Amino acid sequence: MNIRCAKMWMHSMWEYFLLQPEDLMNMQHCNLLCLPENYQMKYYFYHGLSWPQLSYVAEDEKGTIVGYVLAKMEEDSDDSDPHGHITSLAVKRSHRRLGLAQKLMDQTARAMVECFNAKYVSLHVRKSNRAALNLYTNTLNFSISEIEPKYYADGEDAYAMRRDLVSFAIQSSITPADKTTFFSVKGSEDKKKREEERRDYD
Amino acid sequence: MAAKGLAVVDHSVSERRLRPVYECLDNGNNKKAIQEAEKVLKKQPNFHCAKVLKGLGLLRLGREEECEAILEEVKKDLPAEDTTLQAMSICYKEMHRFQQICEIYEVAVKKDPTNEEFLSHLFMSYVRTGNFKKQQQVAMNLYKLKSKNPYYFWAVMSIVMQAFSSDDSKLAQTVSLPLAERMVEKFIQDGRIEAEAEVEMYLIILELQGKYKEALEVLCSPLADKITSQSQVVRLRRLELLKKLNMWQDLNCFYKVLIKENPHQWSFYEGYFSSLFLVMDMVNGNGNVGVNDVNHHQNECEWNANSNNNNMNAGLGRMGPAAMFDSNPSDAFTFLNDVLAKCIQENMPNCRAPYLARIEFYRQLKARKDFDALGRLGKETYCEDSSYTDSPLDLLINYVRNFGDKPCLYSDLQSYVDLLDKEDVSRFLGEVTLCLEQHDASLTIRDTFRHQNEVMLKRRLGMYEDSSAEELEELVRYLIGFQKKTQNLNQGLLPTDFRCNDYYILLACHMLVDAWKKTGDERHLIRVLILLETEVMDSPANYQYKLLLCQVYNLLGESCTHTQIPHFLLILKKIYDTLGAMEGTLKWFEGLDVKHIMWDTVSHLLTRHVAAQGHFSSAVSVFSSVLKFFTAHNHDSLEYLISAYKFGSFHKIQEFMRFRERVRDSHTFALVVLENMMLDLLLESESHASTAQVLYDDFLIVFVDQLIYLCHTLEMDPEDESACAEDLWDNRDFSTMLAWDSSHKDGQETWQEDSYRWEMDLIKLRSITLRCVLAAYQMLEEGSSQVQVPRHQILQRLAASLKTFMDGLKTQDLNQMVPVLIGGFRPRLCVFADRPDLILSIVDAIDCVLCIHNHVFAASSPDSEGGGERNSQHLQLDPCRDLCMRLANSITWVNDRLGDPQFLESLVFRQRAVEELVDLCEVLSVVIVLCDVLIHLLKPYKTSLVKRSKKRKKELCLPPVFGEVESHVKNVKVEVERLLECVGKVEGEVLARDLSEFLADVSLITDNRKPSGATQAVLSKILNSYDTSFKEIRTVLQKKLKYLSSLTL
Repeated sequence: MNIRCAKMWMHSMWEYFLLQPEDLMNMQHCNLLCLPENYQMKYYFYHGLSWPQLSYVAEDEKGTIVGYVLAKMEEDSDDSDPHGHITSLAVKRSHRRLGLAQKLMDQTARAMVECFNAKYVSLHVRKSNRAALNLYTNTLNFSISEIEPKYYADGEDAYAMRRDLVSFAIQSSITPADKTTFFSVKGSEDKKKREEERRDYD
Repeated sequence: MAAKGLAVVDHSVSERRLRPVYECLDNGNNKKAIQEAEKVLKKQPNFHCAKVLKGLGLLRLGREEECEAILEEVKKDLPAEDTTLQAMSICYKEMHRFQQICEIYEVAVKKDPTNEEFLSHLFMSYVRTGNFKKQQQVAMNLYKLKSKNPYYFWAVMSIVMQAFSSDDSKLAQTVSLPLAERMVEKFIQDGRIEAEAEVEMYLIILELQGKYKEALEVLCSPLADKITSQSQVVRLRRLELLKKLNMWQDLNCFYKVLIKENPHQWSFYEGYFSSLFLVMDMVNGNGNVGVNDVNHHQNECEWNANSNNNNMNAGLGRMGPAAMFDSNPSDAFTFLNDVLAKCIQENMPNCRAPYLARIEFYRQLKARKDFDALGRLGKETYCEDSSYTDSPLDLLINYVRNFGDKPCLYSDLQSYVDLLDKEDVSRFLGEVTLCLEQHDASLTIRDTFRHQNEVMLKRRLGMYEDSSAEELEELVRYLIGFQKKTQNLNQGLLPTDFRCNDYYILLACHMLVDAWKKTGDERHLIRVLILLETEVMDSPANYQYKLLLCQVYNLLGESCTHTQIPHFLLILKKIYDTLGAMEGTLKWFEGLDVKHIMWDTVSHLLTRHVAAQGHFSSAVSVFSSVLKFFTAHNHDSLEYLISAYKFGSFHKIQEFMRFRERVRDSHTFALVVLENMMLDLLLESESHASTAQVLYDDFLIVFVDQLIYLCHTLEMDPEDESACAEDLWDNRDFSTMLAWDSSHKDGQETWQEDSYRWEMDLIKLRSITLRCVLAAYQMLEEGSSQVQVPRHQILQRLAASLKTFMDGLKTQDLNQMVPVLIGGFRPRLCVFADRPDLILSIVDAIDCVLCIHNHVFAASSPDSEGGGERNSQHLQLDPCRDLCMRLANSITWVNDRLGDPQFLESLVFRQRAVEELVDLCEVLSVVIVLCDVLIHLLKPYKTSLVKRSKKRKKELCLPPVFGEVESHVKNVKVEVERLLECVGKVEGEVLARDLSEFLADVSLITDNRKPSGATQAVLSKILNSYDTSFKEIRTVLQKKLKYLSSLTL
């Protein structure tokens, strides 16, 4: 099994497999095969072109994509800690229970910390999707942060879930993009920010 | 100060006033938005932004012209105010006029050259139009204004894009890229590199110039630390550079370290093997440099953090412990066994790669014919179990023991089972089967996976190939029995979940299709349909059902439509296809919920069959969805590039551009465009005026407006010589549908390649035919419009290329094609190849047009004044006679096919005959337009003769050509009438006949129950489908008859 950064096209320099059709097409197929949701193409483009470090695909020995994670950074993090968000996670049915989801999620979490100093990662899951909820809670260390009523277009509620990345980084000895802010607690960081602002005014 | 204050107040007031307009637009309430904007305009009549927003509301209500007028008006005032410009940009974007956005910002920048905002919008507007030179200028201006790094690198990227898109690779290599390199180097020297993206940019530039060594040095220098993340990423990129530099020994060490760290990652093993074999070749003297190298290195590469950068090996640095490279198979065996032993020791139960790696290594040795190593293979021992020898049989059995109950087992082993010798096969299968029977009493989910894997592997290994139809039926009963037995395992599943025992049904379907192939007994196909139609209700998420459904319905020439559901669907579709039951196909295709990129990758399931089966109105809507996707993609995808510049993901830009091209140049797109035009001609051309509309409005506008990119390929301008591009992208994805056929993979590959060639030929045929029609029609207006080359010359040329095309069409190639469930069926080109008369009658019709044109031209030219009559005596209208003869032949042939007893007895035969009928109708519609041209070529000639006779007060005596042409048109009409009569007769027979003979013995699949609802559904789908086909074909023929009646002089 391979895990690698998602590609919009096989650049001749970085191709691992010849003749592999590019990922976006495959990702949509994977989605067709795995999930009822199917995002518009612009969604894939948006992620792939804005945070290319965060989206990963898993492929089998033949280079067929069997899973992927599509992730982004939350942009409106002025008032809160920088954090990532999982837009979509999919593993083909025939390749479940092989630990792929965990690998994909760890890979993107690592990149979130290393590239963007993300302190936690969030996601939404359908209330009815018990299998996914189990996976997130028991295997991937997410916990429910709140319930968002009628989050989905069909009126279903969503659980908003989070995974703490600070402890993950310590555990896996990952170096964050900016150590000082990453390891500082929220209060002290605010204080520091205010101090900096004051200095700027002076 | 005061003025400034005023401006600020003014601005905030305007903003407040506009807020309701924006809100309405955001909510999609366009009418209200217009009203709100008008309210604001009452207070401030010259408020640009309000005007534009009103225009946007109008645009979104479909009143494009009014919006355009407003934009023109505002544009004249040369606005330089941000919100107005942004609103205008939105309008232009929605109208797909990207060039206009450049223009308005050019004006704004001229007015306010130091406005950073405007400049950056101007930059993005050039990104949209792909004007890299201007991009570069604006980016440099931005950098001069605010010396921010991103602006500087926007300029660098713009230069790289110039090199990248330039046709002149020499210029790129000698001018653009070195310039870009110098620009970045200057920054490095000044110590001004800040971000990861900037280092990335440098690497891109070096790589594009083939400066791999330099790139590797960058990755080993402190600059690499800027690539913040991802120590991983830096390492992988070094790896790729080492490959480019042929540093196989270093690579081999590198891969060994990586595999130890991450034994899951398959690509590392692949890299390890390829480097190992290259090192082995070097050692064996196949590379003379290598031997010395090996000695010099003494099998050792230092991975040392404190090395200096001049030493490339050491420069790889920070890799951990020193490693030895491997240079012979036995080292490799030891290494692979160590990795596996470590995995077992560390209890990584899901880690399949080390197991597979040993099999893969065996496969590669075998492929290299390294019998020496293979001979030693048996002697290598595995772990502590010394009795265990690693033959491929052992390796495979070991794999089954470990992963036999995983659903991925089949796809893992699929290509490796071919390594087994004949006698090993039964031992291997014995092992697989044995594993099941231990658990047979009460089956668990894992047991079902294991059992289904067993059947799949058996099928893959050809165990069922020699089975008789009866044996296959028995097998079907056995599989369905297991499916029923394991139904209790599916409790509590969501509708979106697959069921663990779905594969039983899929396998049973494939067995039934095999039985059909063996015996030609179509009841097997009907059974597949009934089985799948029933199962889809229970497992609505299984797209394989749907895919199969679509294919089967296609086989039957039907069209189908349903909600939700995809595995079963594919099969169903295929069978409906085979039987020509488009109703079924359409229904299940809808169920597949095709959208976005799938319009390119899987729409072939439908687009190749729907029109060919006479479901014209469905075809119109399917084609329009496909074309909508491609047009939208071509326009919108550029918008996303902008975010790549904003976020500095430069290395994604080229990837993205290539992806864009791949979709833009898809052969499905080209084919659907042409099929759509053909369909238009078939359905809409029913009088002289409507033909003109089809040809000028639909053809030309489609081409000018939507297909700028394909123009070179399919150029509808009849003057264009480049008939057809040789290569387009084949984006069809045939891997979505599962099959477990023994030679499935190879068969599928050649099928895809072959069918692509045939479809490219069809594209060529369609393109020439349609251009003939257009050129012929344009002959009628030659006087009024300026053309460079006279149309009749072009027509002559096109007719010649049509003939050449037909000469080159090799029937036997096409007939060798075996229909595979996974791919598709008989290509449409087949009929045209088998019946050359079809296309040759178009050639004849063109010859008629040319003949009459020459005659009229000669008769009405000044120097032949009065000689017209004499000329016409010598007029040879052979082509007309040929044409009628050919048409009569073709119609008789189709008539025979429709009247053949098989037509009623075999649904598959019926599907083919209907396709042939449709092809004939298409040809007729082209011939009729050419008849129209004949008549209208003669009309002005007649008028001039009438005038002349009036002048000379002589009684009008028309030359015989008029009579001949009129009777020619009448002859064509007689033939069409004959065809229509025959269609009506067959239609009655088909619809009167029930299909009960196909239903005999459904007990095989329905548990002895009487025919269920699903059975009725299948039957009514098939019958409705024929009903629709015949109705639509009849309507078309009636229209054509009316058209022909209107063609008089």
